[in-house]
Formats: sequence, structure tokens, C-alpha cells
Amino acid sequence: MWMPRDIRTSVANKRWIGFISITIIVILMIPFLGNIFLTHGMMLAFLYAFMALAWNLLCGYCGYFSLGHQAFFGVGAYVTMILMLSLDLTPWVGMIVSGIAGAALAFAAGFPLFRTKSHWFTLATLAFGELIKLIFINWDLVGAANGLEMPIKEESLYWLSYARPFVYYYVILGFLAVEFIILRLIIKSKIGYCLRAIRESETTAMSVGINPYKYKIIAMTISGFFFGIAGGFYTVKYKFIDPFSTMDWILPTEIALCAIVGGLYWFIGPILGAIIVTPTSYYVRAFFSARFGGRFFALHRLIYGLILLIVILKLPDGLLGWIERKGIIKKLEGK
Amino acid sequence: MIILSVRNLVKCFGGLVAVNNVSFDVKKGEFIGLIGPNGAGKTTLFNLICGYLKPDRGTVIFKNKNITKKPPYVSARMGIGRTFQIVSPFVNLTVLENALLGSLMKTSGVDEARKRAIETLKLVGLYDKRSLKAGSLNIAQRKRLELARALASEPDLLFLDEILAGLNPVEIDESLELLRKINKEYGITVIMIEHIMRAVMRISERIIVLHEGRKIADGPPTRVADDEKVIKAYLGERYVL
Repeated sequence: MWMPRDIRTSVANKRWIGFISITIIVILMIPFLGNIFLTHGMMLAFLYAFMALAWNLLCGYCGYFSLGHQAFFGVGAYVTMILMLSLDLTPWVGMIVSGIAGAALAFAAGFPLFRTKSHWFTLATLAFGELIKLIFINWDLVGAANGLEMPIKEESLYWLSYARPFVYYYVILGFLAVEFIILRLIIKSKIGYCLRAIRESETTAMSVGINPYKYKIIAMTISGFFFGIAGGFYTVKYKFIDPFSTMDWILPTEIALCAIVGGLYWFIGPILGAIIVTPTSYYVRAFFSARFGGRFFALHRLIYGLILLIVILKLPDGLLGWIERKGIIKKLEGK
Repeated sequence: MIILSVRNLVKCFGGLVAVNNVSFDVKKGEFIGLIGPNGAGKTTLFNLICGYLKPDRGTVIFKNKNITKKPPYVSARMGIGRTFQIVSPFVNLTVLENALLGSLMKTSGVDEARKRAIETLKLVGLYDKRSLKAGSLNIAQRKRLELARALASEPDLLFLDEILAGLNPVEIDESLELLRKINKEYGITVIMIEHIMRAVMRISERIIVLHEGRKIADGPPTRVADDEKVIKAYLGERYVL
């Protein structure tokens, strides 16, 4: 986790513990405020943070910018749905199988995709995502372009079926916490160091015995796993899926925006970005559709574009990069 | 004992023969200087041996194993370390993390690797700078960091590509002292490309001269410095040791 350098001093340490505790308490209390709109917005933020954190492993730490991760998300969504429809399986198991399916697809896709580098890689992932989407659009067995709908179940934790976002909020928050710990351990391990070395220079990385191809596929597989789980979560929350809503390449651009706004090189950057960007866009979308009906439906995308433009011009290393450059943390710690 | 054996290596870039039928053997513990005019094929030869380029013909035998056309990370794991002529540290990582990536090759435990990296940084004199980003170092420090990263991976054979270029005379003397220590005390075989004759003649036990891709001389510094072909191709005038 990103931390200021001089955290060792005990006063600063106490302030940090206080700050983090308050943040956690506030996050846990949000659903009790009774505002469904806010709860849903924050739930979306955590879903995006969940994906952005996984995306950042490959794209921030390893430097390979993927626009094809929606395929893992979409396949995850379909796996949970199909397992419920055909085997009557609880989504709890379904989501894990979704994760494995996402990881398997990412692993397989990694072999051809990592033959390419830099922006060619990005283009190849874009083509890959569209390819998977086209397969699902034309695949009658999984509902083709019509998509699939979940049967109505009684409200229970077993079926994870609720009308209101209250439970989903805590489920995705729990997922995010577990993912946070797992990825944190990975980043601190040999894999994390090797990924960052590959981002800096593959030539130099090879001179110390790192096989870049292997580590890129590892990163892709891990992030595919979490995208699969996110897809499964999407299915149980929204109960209807089709290739257009789950496999659109807008998804990875939104994920990328979260990570870039927060700060690509920081571990918690994507979470911070998601918490800022996602509720903003959700609010803007709701605001405009309430005022103007369907006329300005895609206006939140314009807001996305504006945010991205400002960030690139003013905060090229994201919010956390800007905070570090300005020394704001040091001032808060009273130095 | 022969640690590296290069046989009839040939590499062409289009019509240009960059390395032309070069053969030589390296004994364990030797300190070899590789010299020659710009474009003689010195760095290309390094890249062929380390696996960054694939030779058109010829073989490279390292520790009795054929490593011709093996990728660089395989030869690195077998014990070939190298530095780069155009220094390429991991600029956004700290000095310590750079060295740590070297020592991670022989150990997968990050804590153990960190200990070894710290020792290496103390050896090359970069310990004070350990928490700085590698991108903030000056050229002399970057060259030492290149060396630290390669050393941390505990190689048996070390290729140094112009590690002294751009250093001032005092820094050169310090580096030579360090290189001698690496060679004598740690028993690492060294092959060094260098243009600074004063340094290369002083430290090398043996010198190989390349010219237009061919090996034109191979022997102790005194003999190479007197060689007519070497004088004509590279040294320019009779070099007095």
C-alpha cells in the first residue's frame, strides 16, 4: 500500500491509524444512512475498484495496457448465470467458478496476445474482446444477442437475491478486502518485483533471469480471475445479461480511467480513482436522465472524457502522484 | 578450466557482416579486455553470447553446455551477468530495488534477496543512495548501479559494456579497484569492452581486438599493444604502457 516515507514516526503513525479507522467506519456505515441511491453508487464504486485493482496488476505494475478485460468479465457473468439456470447452483460457488473461467480464458489468451508489445498489444486486446463478444452474440445456446435472464428466487443469502443494494454493498466490499490482501501479498513477493522490472525495461529484466513472457501471463491470469468474479457479481446483482452489456469495450476504458485518475503506479490508486469517478458518473447519468429524459443518455461519457483530459493535462501521475509531489501528506503530519 | 568457448560466430545485418567468424576460449578467473574501433562488433558479440541476438552460424558453449540461441534469461540463470552500454536501470524503482531484482534471481525470498542486495550496494558504494529512485542518479552512479545489479545476481561470468565511459580519472581508478576485487576475491570471470586504453591495459590479463567483425589479435596487453595490425586498425600510434 502506498504510504508516506516517514511513516515510522509514532505521531504520524497514530494519525494514520486514526484516519484509516475513521475511513473504514464511514464506509461500513454508508448503507445505514438509508439512502438507496448513495448505497448503490458506492456499491458500483467498489465493483469498479475491485476490477481496477486487478486491471492495475497487469497495466500499472507490468505496463501492458489491456482493453480486452471485458471478455473475462463477460465470461464470468455468463458462467454464474448458466450454472444457476442449468444446475440450480448457488451463485457463491458460481462466482468462484466464474473466476476460474476468467483466469483460464486470460491464461489462454495471454499466449498469442503477449507476442505483441506496447500499443500493438492494446489493439490486439481490443480485437480479442470484440471477438469474444461476437462469439457470444452468435451463440444460440447461451441466448445469442437476446441474452439470459435469471429466474426469480426468494430473498436469501443462499441465492444472493435482493431487490435493494444493501447486501450487495457488503458482499462486494468483502470481495474487495480479500482481493486487496491477496494482491498486496503478490505485489510484495517476487512476482511483484518482476512485474515492475518488466514495466521498466524488458531487456534489463532478462539480464537478471526474468522471463517476461511468463510473468506477463501470470499477471494476465490473476487479473482475469478477479474480472471473472466481478462478472459473476454483476449477474447476481442485475439478473439479466447480454453480450452488449457485459462485453462492451467501454468497460475497460472506464476501469482504466479509475486507475489513471487515482494513480497507476500506486497500489491504492485504482480504488481511490474508482471511488471518485464511478459515483460522479452515476450521479451525472441519473441527474441528466431525470431532467431531460433519454435525450442526454450518454452525457456521462462526456464527463468521463473531460475528467480524463484534465487528469492528463494537470495530474499526469494521478491524484496520489499529485499529492506526493505537493507534499500534502507531510503538511498534514505537521512537518 | 575453460568456462566459455565461442566457436566461429557469424552475425550479418543485411549485407553487413557485424561479427565474422570469431572464436575464442575463456578460462575461469580470467580478466579479458575486448577492444576495437567503433562498429567493430564488440557489443554485437556480447549480445550474441548473452542471447539478445541469434547468431547466423557458430556455437557458444558455457560451462560445457551449448547455449547458442538460448534466450537471455536462460543464460543469465546459468551464470552470465551483464551490464549495458546504454545504461538501463529500472528508473522508477529505488536503487535498492534495482539491486534486489538482481539478487532475486538466485533466491525467491524477498527478505533474503534484500539482505544480499544491501551487501552488494555496500560493495559498490551506493548504500547511501539506496532509497533514491534510480532515475535520479548521475551517470557515474548509474554505471555502478548497473554493476551492482549484475553482481547481485551472483554470476560466474560477467560482461561489462563500457562501464568506465564518462567517468573522471578518480572515478575510473575507484572502479578499477572494485573490478579487480570482483575478479580476484570473488573469483568472477570478467570480459570488459572498454575504450579507455589506460584502464583496459592496466587491468586486463588478456586482450582481444576486434576489427570489422574479425578477431585480429588475442594475447597479453604488452604483445597486443605492439601488434602492427592493432596499431594500424585501432591504437593509431605505438602505445606505450
